[in-house]
Amino acid sequence: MGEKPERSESMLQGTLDMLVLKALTRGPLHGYDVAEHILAWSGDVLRVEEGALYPALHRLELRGLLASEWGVSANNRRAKFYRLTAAGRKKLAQEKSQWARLSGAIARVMEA
Amino acid sequence: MREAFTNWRLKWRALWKRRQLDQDLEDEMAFHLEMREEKNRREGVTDSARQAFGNVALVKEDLWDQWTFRAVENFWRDLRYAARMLRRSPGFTLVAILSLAIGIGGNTAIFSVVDAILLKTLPVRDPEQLRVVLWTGEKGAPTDMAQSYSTTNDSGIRVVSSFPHPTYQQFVANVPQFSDLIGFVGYQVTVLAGAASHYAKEELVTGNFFTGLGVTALAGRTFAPEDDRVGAAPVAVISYRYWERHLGLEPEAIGRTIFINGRPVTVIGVTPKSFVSIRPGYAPDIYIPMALTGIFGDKWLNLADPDTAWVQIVGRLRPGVSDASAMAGLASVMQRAVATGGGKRGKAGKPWQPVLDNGASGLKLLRHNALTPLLVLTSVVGLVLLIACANLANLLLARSVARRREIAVRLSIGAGRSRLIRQLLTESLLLAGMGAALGLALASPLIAVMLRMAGGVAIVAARLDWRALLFTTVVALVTALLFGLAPAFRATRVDLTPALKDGMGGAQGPSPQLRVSRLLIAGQVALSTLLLAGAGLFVRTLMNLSALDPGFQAQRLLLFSVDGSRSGYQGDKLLGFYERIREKIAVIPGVQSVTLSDAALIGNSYSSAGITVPGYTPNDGREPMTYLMRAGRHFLTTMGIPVLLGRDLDGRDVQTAVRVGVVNETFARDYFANENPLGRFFYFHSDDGQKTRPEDRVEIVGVCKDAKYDKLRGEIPPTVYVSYLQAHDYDTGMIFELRTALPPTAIAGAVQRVVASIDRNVPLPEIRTQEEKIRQTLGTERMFAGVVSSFGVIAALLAAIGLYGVMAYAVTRRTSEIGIRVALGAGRGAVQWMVLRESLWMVVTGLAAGIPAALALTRFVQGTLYGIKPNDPVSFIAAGALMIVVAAVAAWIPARRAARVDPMRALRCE
Repeated sequence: MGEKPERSESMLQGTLDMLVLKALTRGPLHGYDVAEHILAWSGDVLRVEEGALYPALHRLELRGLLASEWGVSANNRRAKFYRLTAAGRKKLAQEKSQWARLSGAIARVMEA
Repeated sequence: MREAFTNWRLKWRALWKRRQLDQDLEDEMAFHLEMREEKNRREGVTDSARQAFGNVALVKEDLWDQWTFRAVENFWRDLRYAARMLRRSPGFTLVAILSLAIGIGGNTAIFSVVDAILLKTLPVRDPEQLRVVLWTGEKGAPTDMAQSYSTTNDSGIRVVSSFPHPTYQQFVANVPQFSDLIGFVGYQVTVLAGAASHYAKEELVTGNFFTGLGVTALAGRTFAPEDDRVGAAPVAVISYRYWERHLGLEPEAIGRTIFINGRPVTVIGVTPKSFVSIRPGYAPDIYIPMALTGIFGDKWLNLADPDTAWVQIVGRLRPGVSDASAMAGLASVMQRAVATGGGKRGKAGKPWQPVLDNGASGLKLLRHNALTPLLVLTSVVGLVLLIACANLANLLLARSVARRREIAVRLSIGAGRSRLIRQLLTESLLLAGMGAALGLALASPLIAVMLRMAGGVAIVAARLDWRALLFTTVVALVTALLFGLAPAFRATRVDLTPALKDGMGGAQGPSPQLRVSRLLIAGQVALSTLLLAGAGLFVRTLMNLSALDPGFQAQRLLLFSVDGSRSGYQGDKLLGFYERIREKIAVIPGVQSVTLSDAALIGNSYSSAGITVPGYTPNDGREPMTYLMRAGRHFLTTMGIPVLLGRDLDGRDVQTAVRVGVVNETFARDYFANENPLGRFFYFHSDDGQKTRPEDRVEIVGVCKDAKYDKLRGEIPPTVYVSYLQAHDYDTGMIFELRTALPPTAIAGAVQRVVASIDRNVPLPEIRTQEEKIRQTLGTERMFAGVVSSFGVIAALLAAIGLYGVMAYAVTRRTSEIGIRVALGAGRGAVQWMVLRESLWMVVTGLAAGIPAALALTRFVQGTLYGIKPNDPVSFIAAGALMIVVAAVAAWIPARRAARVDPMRALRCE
């Protein structure tokens, strides 16, 4: 996957929050893996910059949507793992349905 | 809401683990970078992970800010920094805090008094529904009631604040716009509760007084309607203060019998501590149902008399009822009373109209009198605070110049300007806060001193409460902005390069800072001059009044009062009681002479009466009147009022003898022109309007010199001194006057033994000197003179400190210039004069602004001045001269320093 996207997609903060929450639905991850998951799932399109990722993670944690725990990574290093809280799960469901409505609406406009 | 809570909880936890938080953020970032580098290695990408990441420090700072209470912590840091900066210049800090403390403390103290008198609402249910019911007649000042209380209300009209009792009853029956109409009247009584009897303030109130106001008893009960019926068992409600002072807060006091004017009455309840009175300035001790006025009141407090207005009324409007509708209801009752009512009012048919005043803060009898003094004091403390602010702003400006290098350094390494301004304002806030704290400590004694100086007037229960605290906080904040904002903005507007090169800045001309400073100094001088001129006026007024010859000998004169009428004495028995006291006092060793009178001289109370003088026709159509003093034998000689013709009152003037009087010169001049008044006579008008009844005839047996009667100010009115034994209508307390060289403390015991030996149930009198009594009536004047001149001096001192600061700075700044001048041959005197001239210029500018302002403002206190005009040249010249002297002294020190500049040294410095 040596090819890089031409330009990084700029993302609204709310969208980034949603993606981060989504990335954590499969279980706890550390920050690096959250970025990697988003990159992979977007087909290498959405590269989340660290300068945006970590503030988002901490913001979500401080809002109680994520919880964190220090653990040991696959390569035996001390790493901070984030997981969804019940509140986070609820928030994600809300964002998801909103997003579906919005993107569907945009798609319909573009196809008209 | 829940998110906010989680946020706060997590931050709070992190607050105690700062080191851990730092480590965690560090580790998290490091971990991320390692993972990224590993991946890059795997994929053979050569980009540095760190470069891709961007500014790690910036991200970490963002996260750190998220986890901490940033604003609060910044403020805390600023505060500690500010404290450090202030500690480094203790002189400045001391001046700042002290001047702010005086300014803020003064404002807090005055606010407490203003609040108590003018602003606070009564501690009763829905005070905004209360209305004070008053009335006014033709020409604004009705005079056809036998007795009434009149006052001037907020709109400035002369109003009568009392109604005849029958009118009150008609209001209650026929004005449904009020849910309650409450009547009351104050009266002095003698009470025997426990061992000793004492005088107390009684309030006769209607049965609905407490229920209508919504005041419930602290202990026992308040009045029920059936308590307020003629013939009901006598009951009393006592005030908390009275309960505390005379009954030791004993719960058993409820149900106990006490004696009021010798008659038994049962105490049924105590009012709450918060409820002092519905009249600010008057605190009743005992409440008695109005129907019992026949037993516990005076004879003129008559329930059936339609011509004597004595019931004061406060009404509670029903919700939704307008003032106009209530007025209409009252007016119709009052018209009917004129048309159908008996008595003089009905016959005269004079119209009267109701007036309603807002009653939320109680009656305003005191307010009108207190308004001018409070206004003056408020302006004075306001000015002082303003001066303190100007002074501080100046000192801060000077400091900001001294701190230019520090500020420039901080700006150049990237500190934001707003951040620096916040830092500087924190410093101002810290100063204002400390000033306010000290000011608050000063306020309490200041209130006490002012109330004491104001004398027995003992205005109100002014004290520091949360309202005063709130006021102080707001004042402190505003003050901090006032003196801190401009210097902070100026200080941070720095041209970096020259500021970093040398601390002083390059140019030689006056910097903008200096220009602002000079303006501030001129402003301070102007305000100080204003205060000093005011102080001069008040001090001179006090001096004039103190030096005034009252027409009698006030020295070595002792006074005490006794009221036998409230211990069961009436008519001839009462007169005999007073005569016995007089006789026994006269033989006390050291007493040269003794007399008595119904009013003390310069005691703010007087009697006057309409008279008919046969042979005299008034040329302005006004009926002749006279002040009258009912006095005992040898009154004039004892008081030291010279008798010019005829004789003083003496032992001949008893009940059975011909009624006689001694008139003063004004009386003789006004009513007998140039004729000899001895042997002539006049008639007092009787209560029922008869003008020449034989028993009201008074023969003139003497003429005495004019002497002041009720007060020091004003013209001496026509006055007649009559024998109290011959005054048919006389039945209350008396003042005894003793001419003696003994001090009051030496004679008090003997006098009290005399009174006690005659009747144990009469309260023991307190002895005071006539001079004390006069001093007391000068309370307001003394307070003005004291407060305004102390604040004036403080203001002038602050101006001097400011002037010194600015000139000292200017001289330091211009050291090299002065050096050149000296090197070129300028003499020491010339250099000194140069500096002095600059200071003088500021002072003259200040005076030029301050004196016209003072001239414009002192007009408003004209009424409180005596013997001088508001533009009194002596006061103004003294104020200006004092200001110039103070300024000259302040400028002298820097001027001398300038003159000592060594040219070689000064030039080498450059």
